[in-house]
Order: sequence, then C-alpha cells, then structure tokens
Amino acid sequence: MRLRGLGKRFSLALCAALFAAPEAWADCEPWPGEPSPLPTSASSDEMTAHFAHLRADELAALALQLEPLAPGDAYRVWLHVACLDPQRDDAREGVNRIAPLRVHAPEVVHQPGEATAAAPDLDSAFGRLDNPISVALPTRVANAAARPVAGSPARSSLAPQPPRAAPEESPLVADGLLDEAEGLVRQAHFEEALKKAAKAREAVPRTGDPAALRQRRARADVIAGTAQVALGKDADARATFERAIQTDPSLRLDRANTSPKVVRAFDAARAAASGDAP
Amino acid sequence: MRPGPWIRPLTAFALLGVAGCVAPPPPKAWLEVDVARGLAPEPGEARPARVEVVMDVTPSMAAATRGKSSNLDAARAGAAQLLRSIPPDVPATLVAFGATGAACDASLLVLGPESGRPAVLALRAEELTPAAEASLASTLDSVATALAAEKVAERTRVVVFTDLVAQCGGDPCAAGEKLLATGATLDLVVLGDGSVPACLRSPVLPSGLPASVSRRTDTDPVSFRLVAAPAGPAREPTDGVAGERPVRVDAGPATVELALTPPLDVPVVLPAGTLLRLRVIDFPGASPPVRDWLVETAAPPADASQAASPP
Repeated sequence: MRLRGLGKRFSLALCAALFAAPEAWADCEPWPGEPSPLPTSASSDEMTAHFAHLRADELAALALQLEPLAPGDAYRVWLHVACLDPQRDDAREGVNRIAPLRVHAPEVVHQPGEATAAAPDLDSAFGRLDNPISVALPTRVANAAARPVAGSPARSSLAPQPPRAAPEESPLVADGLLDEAEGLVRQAHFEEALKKAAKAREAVPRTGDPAALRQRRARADVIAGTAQVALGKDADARATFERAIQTDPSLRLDRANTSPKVVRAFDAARAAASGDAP
Repeated sequence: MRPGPWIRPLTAFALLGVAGCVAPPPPKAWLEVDVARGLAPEPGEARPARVEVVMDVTPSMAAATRGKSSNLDAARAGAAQLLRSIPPDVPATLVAFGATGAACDASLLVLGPESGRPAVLALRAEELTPAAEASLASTLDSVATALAAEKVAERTRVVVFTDLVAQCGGDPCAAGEKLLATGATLDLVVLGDGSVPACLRSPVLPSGLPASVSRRTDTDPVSFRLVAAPAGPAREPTDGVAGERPVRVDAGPATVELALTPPLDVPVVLPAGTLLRLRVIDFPGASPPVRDWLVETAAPPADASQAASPP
C-alpha cells in the first residue's frame, strides 16, 4: 500500500520537532493565574525557579492522570510542563506519546474470520489502529456477503455464530495468513504466530501450481520453526525445518536478516535431512 | 493691663496644639504583595473518556480495490474491531457520513453515545451501506461543533475511517484544526491509496490552557489586609490586592493577612522609606500542599503615583 509507513514517517517528523527547544514547538505563554513572563526552572531568581519546579511537578502529575481520560488536554499540559522545566524528559516523552493527531495506514488482509480476544482496553484498542485490518473475502464467505469478520466474545454473545469452518483452501487466504504470521513473529507473539502458520499451511490448496504450493507450505514451516526456536522448542523447530526442506529442497534462508539461532537450527535440520546429522 | 490668671493655661494649651500640628508625620513605607498559586484541589471524580468513531460510508469507499474487498469493507471491519475493544464504561458514538441523505447534503447518521453496548454499535458499523457522497470536512466540522457544545471535547477521542477521497468539497485541514482546537484528539485511519493532505501530516497542534486545568485554576485576585502586629503599636488596617501597585503604609511592625485557603498571616517589619515585597507561593492541590513565602526589601517607588494610597 502506497501509504504504508506514512504514520511512522509522521511520528518521526513529530519526534524530530519535539527534540527542538520547547519554544520552537510550544506556546510558552503563561496561563491565567501564572506569573508573567512564565517562570522557568532555569531562572536565576530562587523564588521564580521554585515556583516553576513546583508547577511543573503538579502539572506533570495532572498530565499523567489526564492521558487516559482527556488525552488532548494531557498533550497541552505536557507542552506547558516542558516550557516550565525544559530539562524534564517525561514532558517530551508525554508529548510524543499522546500527539493529538495521528495518521494510520493499516494493511488490509483477507482471510477467514479470526477473533481478537483481547480484553477491552482503550489504550490497547487505539494502539492497534496500525495493525492489519482483517476482512473476509466477499465472494467466498457464505452468508456474510462482503461483511467483515473481525469478531470478539462480545459479538458472539449477542448473535449466535455458525460453527467455524475449517480454513478455506485458497492461495490468497494462505498468503494473508502467512503475512499475518510473519507479522506476529516480528511482534514477538510467537505462540500466536505458531497457530497462524499452522492455519496458513492448512489453507494452501492441494491443487494448483505445484512449485508455488510447495513454496507456501515451506514458508509456513519456516515461520513456525522460527517461532519454535524463539519459544525454546528446539526439537520441534528442527523437525519443522526438516519438513520445510523436504517440501521445498531449494529453500534458503535470508541469512542477513535472520537470527543466528534460527540459522543454526535450520542448518542442523538441513544436515539431518541430507543424512549428515551427527 | 495684666493678663488674667487664665491666660497661662490657655497659652500652654495653644502651644501644645501648634506643636501637634507641626509634628512630623509617622514614617512611611511601601508594601507590595505577590501571590503565585498552583492548581486548586481536585473538584471531584474524573469523568470518563469518550470515543467517537466516524465512518466514511460514501459510494467511493465501496469501490473494490486490489480486486478483493473494498475500503468500505476495511472500514466496517476496522470500526467494528475498535468498538469491540472499548471498555463498557466508556461511552461510544458511531457517526457515519454518506449513509443517509442526498448527495453532499451533510446529513449524518449518529448512533449513541452508548455506554456498555459497544458491541451493538459494532454490529451497526458492519451493516452500514453507502447512500450518497458526503464531505469529510463538513463531518469533522459538525463533530467538532457537537463536542464543543456538549462540553465533552477534551475527553473525546475521534477516530475516522476514510479513504480521503474528497467528493463534496470542504476544507479538511480547517475542519481538522477546528476539531483539535476543541481539545479532542483525532486518529485518521486512511484506507486505500488516498493521499493525506500536508496540513494533516504537519498539523498546527493546539496549545493554550486546557479545560481540565482551567477548572482547577483560581484566577480571582488574592486580597490582603495589613493589621497591627500582636505586640506592636496600633495601626489602622490597610486593605490591598496581591499583584497590584505597592501600597503606602505606616512603617513599623505589622501582620499581613492573606485571604488564601486556609488564610495565611505573615509578620513583617516595614522599614521606613523602603518598599517591602512579600512573595508567596501557594500550591493547595499538591500532595502534600505546599506554601512558601519570601520577604524582600527594595527602594521605594521613584514616582509617588506608582504607589496606591490606601482607601
């Protein structure tokens, strides 16, 4: 997607702006009730600096309280804290944490419905806005005609759902699942990645271009093996990598971008598959 | 003629009267009081956050992309997923533009706010179908106006699912800035290949006094009264207001009574011909509350007009 990463670029630009002097990105005017000009902790006048410290402390405490309840307000309070005491790291971090405007460009993946079983939590919910959006393939899901399939326990309690069918066999479905499984590995969600990779392997059709089908199955096994290495399941990982190599003997890892631990497990599996294992 | 016997006491009395008239007045000093206050104590229980999910349901969203699903499918799924992740105690509202009314007539479908039933809104989000083109800009403008009118903007998170395809005009930059100026936050979930306007990539972010601070800021001036010190000579009380011009008062020991909560009494000695400045810091909302003061002396005001006369 053309706009993928835009959110990250936007965040980077914001970060760069935030590390400039406070006056560059904040209106350091005194608020009603504050002395004018606005005191700062760097003031040579002891009483003025004392006020600035106390004011920054109480506003920082308030900003932390406001973040989950009134993030727009919290953002402004953090800006003001940075004006009062430019040395405070928490003010910069707070401003960066709760920018009032964020742009997200999530990837859209097509796959059978998979419930997000996370407990309701506002911060987590907003933290997932960059995550891929799962959409059902409109022509393949019975009784759902173009309806999305993101689900949750709350939904199932409101409307009885039909028993979930086995994952559909489709190259598109398999690719979507593989992409998601790789994403889960990158996010260090290894147990979920393992399950997702297994579903992806099941979703690879039995008929079609044999080479392409083998590559998809092998890719699923590599993802699963990587997750197993991360989980410390070395024997399982070796078996999974062996199966991947047997499925696609031409399989090679991208060694530059793969963990040495995974590479070692993969090499051991290749040695075992070729009968060179000790 | 010899003066009568009564003339001596009369003369003495007259001399005393003259002496009283020409006696030097009591020495004067100047008093200036400054008070810098922190937040007032928390007035009550914090009110919960709110979420406003805005969905672009215009026909342009329904056009399939990548030969698979449409941006509308993604918007439905994303909005439903978000709504199902909202805790039950957080009021949520679903706003759809393009789901009702004639083309570009700015009609909005507004469902909620609902507390404890975000799953119901999620189901409604999944069922929304396009009816007519509509303007994202006017939708954001309307949302901003409504939030400001309800006085809930500062604790509202607005999330917009859109492809940013402008069909009915309007200025999304101005509308976005208006929304942010209310104190609300804006998460823009861009679906498809719509280009994000530069103004939304580098927006003018709001600053200034937030409502949450305003509610706890006491801007009323602090009054004070200068009275005689407990063991000092008598003096007429003198009233003043902190932050205003110095007050000309009699020199000598005294007590400054400040109308803070709780009240603050500061003993001072006003040196003749000198400006005494009392600087007070008061943070009643800190935990524990903090109060500090400092007494300084300085040269008196050069111009007598700079000093206020006691009433």
